[in-house]
Amino acid sequence: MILTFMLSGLIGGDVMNNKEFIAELSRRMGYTMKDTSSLMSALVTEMTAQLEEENVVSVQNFGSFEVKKKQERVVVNPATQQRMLVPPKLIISFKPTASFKEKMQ
Amino acid sequence: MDKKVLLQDLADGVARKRNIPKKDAENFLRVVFDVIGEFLQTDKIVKVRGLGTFKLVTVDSRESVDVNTGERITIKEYTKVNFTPDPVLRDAVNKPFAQFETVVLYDGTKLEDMERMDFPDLPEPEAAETGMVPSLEERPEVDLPATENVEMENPANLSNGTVDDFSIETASIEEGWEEAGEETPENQAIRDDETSLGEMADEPENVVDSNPVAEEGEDVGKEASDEVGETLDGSKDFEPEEADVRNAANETGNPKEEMPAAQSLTSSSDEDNGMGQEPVQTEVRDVHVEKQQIEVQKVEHQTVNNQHIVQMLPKDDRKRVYLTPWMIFFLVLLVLAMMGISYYVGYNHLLTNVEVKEEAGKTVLPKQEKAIVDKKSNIVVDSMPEKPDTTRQVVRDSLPSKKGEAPSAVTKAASPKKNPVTSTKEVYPQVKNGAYEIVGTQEEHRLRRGETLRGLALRYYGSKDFTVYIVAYNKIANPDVVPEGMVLKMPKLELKRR
Repeated sequence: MILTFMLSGLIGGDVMNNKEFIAELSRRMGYTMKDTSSLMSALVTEMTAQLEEENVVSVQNFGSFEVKKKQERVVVNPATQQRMLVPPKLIISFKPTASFKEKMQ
Repeated sequence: MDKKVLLQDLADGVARKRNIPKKDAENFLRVVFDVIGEFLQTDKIVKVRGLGTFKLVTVDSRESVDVNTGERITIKEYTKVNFTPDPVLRDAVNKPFAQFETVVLYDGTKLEDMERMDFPDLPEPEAAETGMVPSLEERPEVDLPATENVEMENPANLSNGTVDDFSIETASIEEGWEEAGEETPENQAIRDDETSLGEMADEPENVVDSNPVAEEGEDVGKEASDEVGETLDGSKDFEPEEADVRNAANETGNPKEEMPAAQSLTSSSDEDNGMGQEPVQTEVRDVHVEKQQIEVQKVEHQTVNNQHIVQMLPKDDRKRVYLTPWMIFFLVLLVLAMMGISYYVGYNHLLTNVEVKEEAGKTVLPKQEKAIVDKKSNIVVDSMPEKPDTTRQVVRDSLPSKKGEAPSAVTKAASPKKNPVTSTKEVYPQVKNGAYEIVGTQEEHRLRRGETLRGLALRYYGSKDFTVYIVAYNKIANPDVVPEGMVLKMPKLELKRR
């Protein structure tokens, strides 16, 4: 499904890649692309820092980023019946707010 | 940690980093997320470098069941927002657990391996024993008519009582063992015994008489050879007596007699087994005990039968039944003692055993000699009488030679084991299970710096294995730590022999 989306995006030219994204931002804010890019990287750095501290980053009308711990678990490769112990890991989960979800429908 | 960070806080950070007014930063962030939302709406997918990919995923409508009512309902198609973090962000967040890697588990390797390690220890000895049995069994059947007889009789006996096949098997097996332990001369003796049917009766006597003989030369390991000699002597010497005894036996004529004989047989064979395989395990011992108990039951059953058949003998029967617990107890003692002896004698002195065995073979023949040994054997004789009596009572009838040997083996076995207990031990501290006994002080030695007990043992006795004797004799609590200047008495050692 992802593939189809990506393919359709590529074909249709409507994939929102970073460059387009920055362009759009700078257009809206009236900043130069460079400034916008710098600000974006600052934002990402800041978010990463916050998430690294396992803080919940919550953005109004958008959603919240949260770090969750996934327990270690044993998985079985159905083909080979090989059992693997997957270590515990910290993952980022994004939970859109209700309003954002509503908007996406 | 776990603090809730709002957009304002993010804006704060960004503002500080880029030296822009906080308000602008906040405004900027709002626009950023707005744009993400808008583009997501239109394009279904938005990539933000360093942050990740937002995606809209359409979830098809599906049927389900209302949890509360149980009705079938249809969940409408809806769109889900999916966020996949950028690898950079993902790794940064997962840094605390970064060192872990996925491990392949090979089907429960560890546990099973452990178990496999444990199991082999137990089965192996058993396997070894059982492995021995068949070979032993073959021989008696082929070579020895005597054994066949025994085997033949046992089933008969068993059929009298409520004895199961298992006990029969055990009996025959044990006989096999016994014979394997014995040597060819004995077999001849057995045949002799057979030819003169009455001998069975006197054999208990042989046993009693031959005890001293047996004791003198005997070492635990070589009992088999002694037995041979004894039985030979006994059978020859006592033939006249045998005849008498046989007559008496015939008069009383017990059908059951065979059983006790068999019992003693098995018991003796048990002992033989114990001696043959030096470290007898407690499990094995238990098995013996069980067998003996089974046999006791057998005997009881038979006695009942006998009372029906032969009324004249109730007294004997009762006596025997009465004695059986004693016999069991005694047998257990024998087995235990023999295990101990065989352990500490056999372990260190295989060579000496061989020599002694040879000697024994020669010395045993003149049976009367060595009244001296009687001192040692006193205990044995004291404790033994019960058994010979019973066996004699029992063994009136014609028994295959085995039976006769059995009691002899028993008594014999008894004698060697008693000796160490009574003779030595008290005066000096002894090394338990040691091959040597401490009989005095050889010389004294002042411990100097750098000297070790092992070194001393090596110097005085030629092997550091003798350390234990020094330790025991000087009653050193902790042999690893001995104070400098300590005066050690080097024990005078004598090879334990009877």
